[in-house]
Amino acid sequence: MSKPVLRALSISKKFADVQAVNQVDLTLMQGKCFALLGRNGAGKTTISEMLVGVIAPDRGEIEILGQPFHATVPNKRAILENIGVLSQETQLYQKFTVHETLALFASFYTDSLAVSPVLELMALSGKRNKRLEQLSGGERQRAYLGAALVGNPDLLFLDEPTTGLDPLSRKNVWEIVEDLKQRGKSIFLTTHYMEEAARLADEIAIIERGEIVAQGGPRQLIQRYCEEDVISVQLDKPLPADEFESLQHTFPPARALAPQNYELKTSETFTVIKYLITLCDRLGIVIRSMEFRKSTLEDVFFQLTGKKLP
Amino acid sequence: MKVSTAQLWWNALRESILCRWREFLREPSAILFVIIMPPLWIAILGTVFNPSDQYRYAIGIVQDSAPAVVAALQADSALQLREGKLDELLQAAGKGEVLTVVQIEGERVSYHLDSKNRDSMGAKLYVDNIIQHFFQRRDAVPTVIKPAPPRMRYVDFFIPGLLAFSIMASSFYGVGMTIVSNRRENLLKRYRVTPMPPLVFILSHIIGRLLVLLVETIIIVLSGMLMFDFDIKGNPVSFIVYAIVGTASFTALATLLSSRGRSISTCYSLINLITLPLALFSGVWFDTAWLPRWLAAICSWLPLTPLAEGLRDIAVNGASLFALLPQLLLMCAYVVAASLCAKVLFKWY
Repeated sequence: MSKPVLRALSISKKFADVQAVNQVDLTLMQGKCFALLGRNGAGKTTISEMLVGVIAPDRGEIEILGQPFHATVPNKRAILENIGVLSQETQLYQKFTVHETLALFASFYTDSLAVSPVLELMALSGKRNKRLEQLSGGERQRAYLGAALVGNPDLLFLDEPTTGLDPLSRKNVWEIVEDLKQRGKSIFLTTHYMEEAARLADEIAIIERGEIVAQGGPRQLIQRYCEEDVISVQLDKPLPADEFESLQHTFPPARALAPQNYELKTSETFTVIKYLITLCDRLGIVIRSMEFRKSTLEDVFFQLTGKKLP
Repeated sequence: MKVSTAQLWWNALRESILCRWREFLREPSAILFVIIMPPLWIAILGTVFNPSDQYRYAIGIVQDSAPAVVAALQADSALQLREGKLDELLQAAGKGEVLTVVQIEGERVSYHLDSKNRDSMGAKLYVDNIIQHFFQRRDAVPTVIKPAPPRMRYVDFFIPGLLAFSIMASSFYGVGMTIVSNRRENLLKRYRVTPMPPLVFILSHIIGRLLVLLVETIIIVLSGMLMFDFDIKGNPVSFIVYAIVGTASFTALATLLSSRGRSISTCYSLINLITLPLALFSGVWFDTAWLPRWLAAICSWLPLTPLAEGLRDIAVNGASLFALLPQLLLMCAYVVAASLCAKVLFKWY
């Protein structure tokens, strides 16, 4: 049975007058991927930096691999031996080759991996002698990921690993992360990409203004916060205000996306369709199109925060 | 394969030193300042300030001065005469084209000169001696000119100073700017989430800088030897040891300078603010004996002064390390004080 490799108990952090993180609890189980999902500035990086000991929480406790962890803990180095970090803000030496970069980081660990297999895993064997400045964005990010992995850590912190990458490079990184999961690595991921969290994470925490507003598996979150189906309907003219109010009253999550476009979430799909057809027929409004889809994390995020992710 | 803690230290230090060396080799401006510029400086300044011809005083003679006296002055090879009207010659003196203007009316001689200018005063004394002898003055006591060892060439003065200056510049730019740049790019923060001992990072900078020092010393000394027969009269080992202590002091100062900042432009300005007065007042380009006494006394405590003067003393006068103990202690004091302050102030991110 898997055990927790990372636990944060009620951690908080304040910068000047801004409460960046407020009483966050989270647990990452061994071999799993935990995603912290939120918009830019929601507090993801602050949490990530507190977890790896870069900044100290004002309150709360952190445990890594069953041991208390903070900036001044005596066995910090032993714990850091088991941690690999990919930070969105860090820029490694651009004039170094991929091999030199990985060799440098490998030298910091007592039980590091050989550089060549890591290069292979990152699909960078052919670029080993290329300088980082000569790589594409995706290749460079894979090199950074290799630098996080070459110490052979059990626990990986990936802070926005695919930000700024093109879709293909993003998928390449996802495949590597999935491979790492299969190899038993535990992964703490921060992201503002819904698709990334949905694809990689076993557990997702949605963060808004430094607080976790929802937490659970991707399907759990959808089931808990959104009805099963989403119906999008486009009309030839807007509904009268009183009729729209009535629609919202009857099916509470109903919302207008544009003057003639509406979206409703429901588990009673046929009842809603029947209602809409009857309503439009009575008002002499033509239904131009009607689409159905399952709810996604994006719907959950919107439901909880009232905002959309990019 | 798991390695011991000692092996980890060695691996991390070796790779980190390699890292510093690569940073140096792959930075075009570092190559320019350490490898290309010093030989150029030596070639240019050594040539310009090392005239093979005899020094000649430029003297203005007012027209219609006694022809016999003028002829006596013309006969002296140390004088370069220029005849003209008084107004023209005074203008020339103002521009520095002549050192003093001589006007001879009968047996009355007038000198027009800037009495604060020591070259003008020297020229006046030289010319006056010739004129007094022309008019049959007898010396109170006989004087004889005997040969003395040749005065130190400027290039011999300049090369140790240039090495000191290079040590200072490459430490501030190589260590200071690198640390600030690493902090700005969050690389220092990235290091702190690895098990690398922080001392490894500091040691790598010190050892990396010593490697650069080795390159600098070889290039500067070799350039001086090949171009101007420069020679280290003292013990070369003492010269190297002294340079190492100087490098340590500037590495510590550079670490202190870069202990907080994240802005490259601020760091650059700060380095310029520090290095410019040090370069001017520490006896790198000119002897501090030219400075007012009070200023020279202050400057003797600046970190570049003991380095430049000590290296020069070993190279030119063959001084021993023991003879330079006060300067060595001053540099060591800078190492200790700057290191302690840096330890307190240094921020990784």
